[in-house]
Amino acid sequence: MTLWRGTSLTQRLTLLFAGVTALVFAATGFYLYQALARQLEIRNDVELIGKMQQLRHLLSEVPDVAAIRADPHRFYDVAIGTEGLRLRILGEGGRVVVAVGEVPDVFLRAAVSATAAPTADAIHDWRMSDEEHGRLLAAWARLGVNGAGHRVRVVLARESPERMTLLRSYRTKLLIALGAGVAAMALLGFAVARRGLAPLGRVTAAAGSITPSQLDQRLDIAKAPAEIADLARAFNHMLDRLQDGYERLSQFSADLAHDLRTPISNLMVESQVILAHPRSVEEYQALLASNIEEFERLARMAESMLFLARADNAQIALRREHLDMGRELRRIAEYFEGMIDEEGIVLEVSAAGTLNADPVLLNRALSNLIANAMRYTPRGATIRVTAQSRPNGGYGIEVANPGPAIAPEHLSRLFDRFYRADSARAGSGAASGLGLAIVKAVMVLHGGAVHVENGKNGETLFTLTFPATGS
Amino acid sequence: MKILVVEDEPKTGKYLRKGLTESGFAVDLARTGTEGELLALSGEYDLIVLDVMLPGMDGWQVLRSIRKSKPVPVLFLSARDTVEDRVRGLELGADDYLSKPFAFAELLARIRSLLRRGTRQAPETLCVADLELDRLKRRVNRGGQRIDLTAKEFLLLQLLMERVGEVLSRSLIASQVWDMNFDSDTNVVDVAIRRLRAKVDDPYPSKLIHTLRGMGYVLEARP
Repeated sequence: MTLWRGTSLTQRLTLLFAGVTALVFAATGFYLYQALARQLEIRNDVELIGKMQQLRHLLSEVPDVAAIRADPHRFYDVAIGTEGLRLRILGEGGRVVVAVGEVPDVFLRAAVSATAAPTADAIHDWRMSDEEHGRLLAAWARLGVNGAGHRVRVVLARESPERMTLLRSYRTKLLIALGAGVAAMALLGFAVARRGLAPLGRVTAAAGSITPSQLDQRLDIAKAPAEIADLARAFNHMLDRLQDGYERLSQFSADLAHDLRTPISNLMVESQVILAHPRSVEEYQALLASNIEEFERLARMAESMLFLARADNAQIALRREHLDMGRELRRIAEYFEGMIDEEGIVLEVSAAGTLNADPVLLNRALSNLIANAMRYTPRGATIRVTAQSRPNGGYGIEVANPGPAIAPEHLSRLFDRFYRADSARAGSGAASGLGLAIVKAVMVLHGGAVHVENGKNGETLFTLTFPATGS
Repeated sequence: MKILVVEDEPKTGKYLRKGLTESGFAVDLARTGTEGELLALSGEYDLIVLDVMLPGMDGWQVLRSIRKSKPVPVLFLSARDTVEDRVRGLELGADDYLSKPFAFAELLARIRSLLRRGTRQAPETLCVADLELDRLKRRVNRGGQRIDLTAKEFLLLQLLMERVGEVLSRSLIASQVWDMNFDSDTNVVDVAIRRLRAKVDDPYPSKLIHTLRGMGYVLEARP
């Protein structure tokens, strides 16, 4: 395919059209030429056989060779009456009796009949020169009435310049027609290809005009032919994904700015209020401590953002270990022990098997999920964490907590950065809005996935799925 | 104890010197890499706090130069916190690596831990005022009365008593007690401290566990 590299589709189609046309035209022309040549030859041969019969008749009227020699003119007349006809009559010993023009010597088997009309098979092609061909017929003839006399050999040769000229001119015309036909088809092919590929050009132009600010534009599928429509559809799906990603990114920037504004505003205004009047040392201390809390929030946010950015660029190297999940879950349960107790809820963990994962990242994901679950679990209810191997060799961890059902439009966006299903909660100091995004990033790093659904019995069910690993 | 701080950022240098001086260290401050190298090689320091990005000569070069002649502990301080940076720092012979932003209490704790390294003797029994903790028997008494603690509460109290008088940041506590090595939004540590206080401090007139708002927690006997 190196031949085609860099050649436009239109060029390719034009060339293909021209090539196919040349092939068909050449085959047809060759056939027609052959048919005509054959036709002319047959006519020639019939004439030649007629002459032979005429000569035989004349010879039957002559008693012997001497008589022929005495009056050869009647035989000359036969030859001269037809253009390009050459004649030779040879005696049985091979001596020439009558000769009109040069004729090649032809061997003739003795057994061949002297009376039966020669068939077309007896006629041979006679190559006179490179260009010129003639026909050659040899036959026996009997002298004397009723074939009583000696046998003579008659050789008739017919050169046919007329036939050759006709064929030559026919060939020339054929070649001109072929050339013109190919040129016409190439032009037509070019026009057809241009016209046929026009929708592709329109798709290209439309795609070229789409910029980030017009990501809602789509290619028109209705007018496009099927093949292009497939391409356009695929392209439109790509645009859907891009638009979605782009919007999430814009939303993320807006949310980030908003989430930064809250602590910054707290820092600024609170400090200004305190500075406006002389205060006691305790008040200054309280201000500084409060500022530190806001700064810590900002620092955590920066750390989480950095983590997410690195996870996006796959810059975080996993340090996988074979983890006894029973032990890991108990450890996390111990971590939350105090809070769980104070909130009056129950954390129930059950685990089986080992998981090959990065312990720090896994802990981070799980504790984010549990912290999230605790925020929505009513007092007295139970958060269940279940971890077990999957039949397909993967590993699954489920975190289920009773709580209000999440609206479907929120479910898919729950893992977006700063996305909060509950808008009233936005800006509350408790959650950074990055916890679930981090869970997702950790799962992606492990080649797994996180999924959330409204489970049965009014539960919110988060599922972490780890793929089967080779080791 | 004498500490050399090599830091070009004026504000950072200023508060590091102030904070460390007030914590009882003698502090010299160098503003460039070359000045830092000169001071480190000529003076006798117990510890060096080194920034990575420095004018003149970067932290890596300074460290390489120091390591040629001195075994003094070096703590790297940097806004760059990729794993590669940490590994590079530790490979060059740094003793610890702290990335910005950090809690001052965390820096102090790490400095003290580096200075203590090798000299620390872990006594079987830790005592602060009338509070006693027996590591081996896993038993805690206050004023002769036995206090029952969960495993994690015991570890938390042990950490506070080992570092008596030191302010421990929340992230340090989470890392040492629960092995949770990331900053969390949750107030798990505060809750755990509150529950420990309920057992260790609340029934007694003198309180040992103190909150330093915005900094962390410290265990010490205050008059």
